[in-house]
Amino acid sequence: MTGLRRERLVPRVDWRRRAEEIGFSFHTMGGVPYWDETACYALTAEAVDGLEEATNELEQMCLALVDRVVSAGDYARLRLSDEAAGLVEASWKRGDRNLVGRFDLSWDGEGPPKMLEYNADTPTSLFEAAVVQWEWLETVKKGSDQFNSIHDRLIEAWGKFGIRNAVHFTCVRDHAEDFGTVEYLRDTATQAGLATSFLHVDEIGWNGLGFTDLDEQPIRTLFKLYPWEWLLEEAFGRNIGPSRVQMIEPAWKMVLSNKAMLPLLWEMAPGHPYLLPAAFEASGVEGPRVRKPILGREGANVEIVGEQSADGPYGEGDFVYQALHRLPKTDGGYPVIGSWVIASQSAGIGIREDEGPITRDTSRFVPHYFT
Amino acid sequence: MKRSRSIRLALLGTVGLVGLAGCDDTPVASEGQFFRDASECRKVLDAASCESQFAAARQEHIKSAPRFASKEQCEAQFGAGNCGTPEQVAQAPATGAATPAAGATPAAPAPAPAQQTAQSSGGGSFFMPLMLGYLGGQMMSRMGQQPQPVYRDAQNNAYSGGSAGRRSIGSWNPAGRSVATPAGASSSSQRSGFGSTATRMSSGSGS
Repeated sequence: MTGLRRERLVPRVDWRRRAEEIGFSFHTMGGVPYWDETACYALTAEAVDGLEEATNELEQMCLALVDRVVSAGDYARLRLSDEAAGLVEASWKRGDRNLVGRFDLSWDGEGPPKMLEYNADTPTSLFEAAVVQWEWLETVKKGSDQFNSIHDRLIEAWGKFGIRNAVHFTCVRDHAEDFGTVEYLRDTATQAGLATSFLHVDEIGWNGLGFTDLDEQPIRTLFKLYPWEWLLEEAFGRNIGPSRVQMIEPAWKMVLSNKAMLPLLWEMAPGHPYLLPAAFEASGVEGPRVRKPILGREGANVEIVGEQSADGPYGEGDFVYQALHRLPKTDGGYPVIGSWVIASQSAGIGIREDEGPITRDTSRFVPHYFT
Repeated sequence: MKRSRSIRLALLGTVGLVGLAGCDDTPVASEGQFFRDASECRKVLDAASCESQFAAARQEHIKSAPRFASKEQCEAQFGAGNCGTPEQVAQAPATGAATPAAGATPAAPAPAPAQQTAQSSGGGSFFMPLMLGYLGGQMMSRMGQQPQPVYRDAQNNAYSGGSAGRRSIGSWNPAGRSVATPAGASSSSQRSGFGSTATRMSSGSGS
């Protein structure tokens, strides 16, 4: 029996109303349901244990990799500027805490799962995984279990930051999915007893000494759902260091949110069962391979070499190559397992399906349970 | 622990889904901006918002400021000249002056209903600290948070009170005019220094 099985289901007639009641505003995107409960995935308890173990081990390897990169000063292959490298080093040496990350795993229910990539800096689909599929479980599969302690762990993690000032949250304007993710995180921080507020990333002010909110109040801790590499390229980027603002995710996540980490991990742990062979040159990977931009998002510009590619705005930068490990094909498309770490602890999964073998921002979120 | 015990949302959607946890903590206020009174607020916010925030802070003050049986007890905590009876406190303008004399001429348009609230909660006379300003501003108003009254104690510390609880907000400027801000900071920030990449990519930034 396989550890992962797709089940067809009749969706609840009132699923849209239910979704909206819990504040899930982006359940439908571009007229197509993003939340998809015409199916679900059933896992075995052994499968969940295996995913948890793999996730924790991958996270520990990633932390070891950051330490290795910082110790060796090996920033050139990550294409990090001196300024970025300085921030990475300082934040790692200070021991800046991190909050959240999502590994994308390819797994068909047999053998070890394989890590496709790590969304270490700006992961989304968090609210869907933490809350929306949990509400589904409680009404559709009551009595079953779900690999999901994301919500509790977030609240617990905020408590451990030891933050005494207000926390500001930011993301881009007019983007329901990003805003929903940030508001959910703000909710968990509030429940941990922190004072919180939200402003758009373009509203962040600089007064010559530090960053400020719209009331000219200092921003001392900033949760940003906005990539580090973008922040650093922009006009205020050079102020981040001098301002001494506490950033979440911390700067050292720049080592891991960059797909150059794939060949670096393979170099550190060649042959590891959870990793796929990866290299900086095409010739470094035998057999069918995938080319990925080192700073891409949502599958953009990913190419299954010689087979098919996804378009996007990241075609100009550097690329890495990874051995092709096809996502399993089900009657609903290609599922990828998003495995969450909260404060570096495995905390649950969310499964997204796409019509094609390259997971894009057009994928659908499908709930899961285990027995 | 493989699953969440129960999920409760404080800010989004309905409060709580299924199997509510017992706790009922209210959201904590954001830091807010300090104003002595509504007219100072009008430099950065529209008049209607300033008046309503000031009125709300005042009401919060009357409702929740600590009460003392004697003026001496109150002044021991809040400093000489910083306490009064509910009538005096309700009438005194929130000037932030170091020694606002009891019964000073009302200058600010203080809302009237405050006085009734104060008296209804006690029988005899009691003393409470003067409200020397409040925390309000755009962030709090956008977050739907209540403005909070601001007090100073006998050691010159400034803190906000009200229903959100006591929160230290810095030290009181000796001139009694404002809460100290760090030297070197400009009072008006530059903006739009972040966000250009997302605009260029015309995309969100999650992954």
